[in-house]
Amino acid sequence: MSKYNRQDLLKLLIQSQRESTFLSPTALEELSASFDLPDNELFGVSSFYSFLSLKPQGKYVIRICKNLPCHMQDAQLIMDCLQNHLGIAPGETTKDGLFSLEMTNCIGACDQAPAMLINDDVHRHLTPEKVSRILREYT
Amino acid sequence: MENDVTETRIVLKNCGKIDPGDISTYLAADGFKAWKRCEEELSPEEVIREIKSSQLLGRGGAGFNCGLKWELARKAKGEEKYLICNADEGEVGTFKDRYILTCDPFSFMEGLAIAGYAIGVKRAYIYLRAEYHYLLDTLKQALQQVKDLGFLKHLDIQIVEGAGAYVCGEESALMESIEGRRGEARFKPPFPTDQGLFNHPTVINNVETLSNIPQIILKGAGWFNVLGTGKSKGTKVFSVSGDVDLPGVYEVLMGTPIKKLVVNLAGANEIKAVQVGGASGRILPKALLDTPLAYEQVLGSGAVIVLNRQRDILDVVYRNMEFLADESCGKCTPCREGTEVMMEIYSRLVNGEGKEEDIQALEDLSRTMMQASLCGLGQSAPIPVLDSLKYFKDEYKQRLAQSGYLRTLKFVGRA
Repeated sequence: MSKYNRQDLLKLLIQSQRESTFLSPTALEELSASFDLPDNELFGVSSFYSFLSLKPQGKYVIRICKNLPCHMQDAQLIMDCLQNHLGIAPGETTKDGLFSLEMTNCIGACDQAPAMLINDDVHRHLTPEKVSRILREYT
Repeated sequence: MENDVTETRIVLKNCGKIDPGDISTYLAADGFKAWKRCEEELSPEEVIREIKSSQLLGRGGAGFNCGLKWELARKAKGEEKYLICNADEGEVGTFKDRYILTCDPFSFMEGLAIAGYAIGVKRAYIYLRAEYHYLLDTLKQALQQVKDLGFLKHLDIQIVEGAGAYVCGEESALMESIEGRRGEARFKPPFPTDQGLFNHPTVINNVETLSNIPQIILKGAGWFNVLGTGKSKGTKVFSVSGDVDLPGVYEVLMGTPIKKLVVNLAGANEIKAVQVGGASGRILPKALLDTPLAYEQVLGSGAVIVLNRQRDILDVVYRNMEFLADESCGKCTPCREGTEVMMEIYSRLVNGEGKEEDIQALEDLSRTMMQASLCGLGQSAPIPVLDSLKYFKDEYKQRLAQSGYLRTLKFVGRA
């Protein structure tokens, strides 16, 4: 008998990731036992959703929108600027474990493009100057 | 008419006027009067009849008759039924639901209360996209206030969060996600009104659709169904972005010409084309700006992206295809492979490596994907491809000519 309802799986995966920045093999094993689901099922769900991560992430995950409306407002410039500041490419995490950088799909801030999410906060109308200021706030 | 900047606000009537954190301001603006009217004077069947005769169609993009959907679910066999509010707007260029949820989280909840009563469900879910996690507190607070005032004695509403997947805005994928699975589209039939969430009859309504409900109940179907066009009644909330001076959310009557929305209201100039409906939306050239925004012509979820004359159409389609290939759930082959191959072709075209036969390949693939894909993602992915081939064939030809020239240069270089 499983301890939990299948419909709570996504919620618990999100919760587990919030606690340790990613879904560790141990966490997945535990959840797999609690839900009485095979490992591959857990892997299938975890790898499907772009906000779930199977590798360690930084304390702050920066998700910069790469879709058309942001692209049209020079999102690439902001991306370059973030890469320069952090010294990492998309998909990587800074050595101090503070920031991860991700390219993401539309975050619904097209009227305030270019935009990015840092964890759950949205940052709008980005400029290179603004990016430096925002990054300082998080360090 | 030339400088007409009037909006018709039905869905957005409270935005900027009420305090989204304080339900008393919503009550002062006729809030929950429609619900009280349903509870005290109307039977569920009468509510459904009213919504049906208002001819309100779903605002998420598919445009199914809302009252009919409710009726199908009400008449479906089974005690257990569900209602879902789709707040997973992920379409590129769409942010209207974000605006509605931020400024007036009460109207759609009143809509949920009414829908729950009419359909006969006890449990409703609000499926909120992960990208809008910052709205969760606003929603929770609003929900608590609605509960505290006793408007939800008949209906238990739970908020479920997504985890980043565009395709979960598709109703069957959304239900898979609520069930704790990969958000992959289901085969239809059975339709959700027969077998939806946990295989029980289910109604899925968009935030904007639900926000229309209280006004229709209060003012009557006869007030609503004279607004708009023959098939498209009422208003539509649009998200306008791209090359405009005033990007934002605008609500206009159904049937309003694209030009009024993008030029008069959003301040676009030097327009080359407008993409209506997001990544898989129609791409219409400047010459067609008088096209009315309505289900009969062009509408979708209400995303309008304006492209000025400096924009490269092939680059636009490439960007969009990249998005669609990224977000295809992978369950069916035409969509999974089709979007991927199209992305490859566009990548070659924009990088000067295109070939004549690419055009034919795009057309063939488009046909297959539209006919054979499982859900709206794959079925509509070719729309911008076909529109761009129809209206901007010259740009393809130019790119191909350049590609040929580049190939000769490479050849010379090697020799």
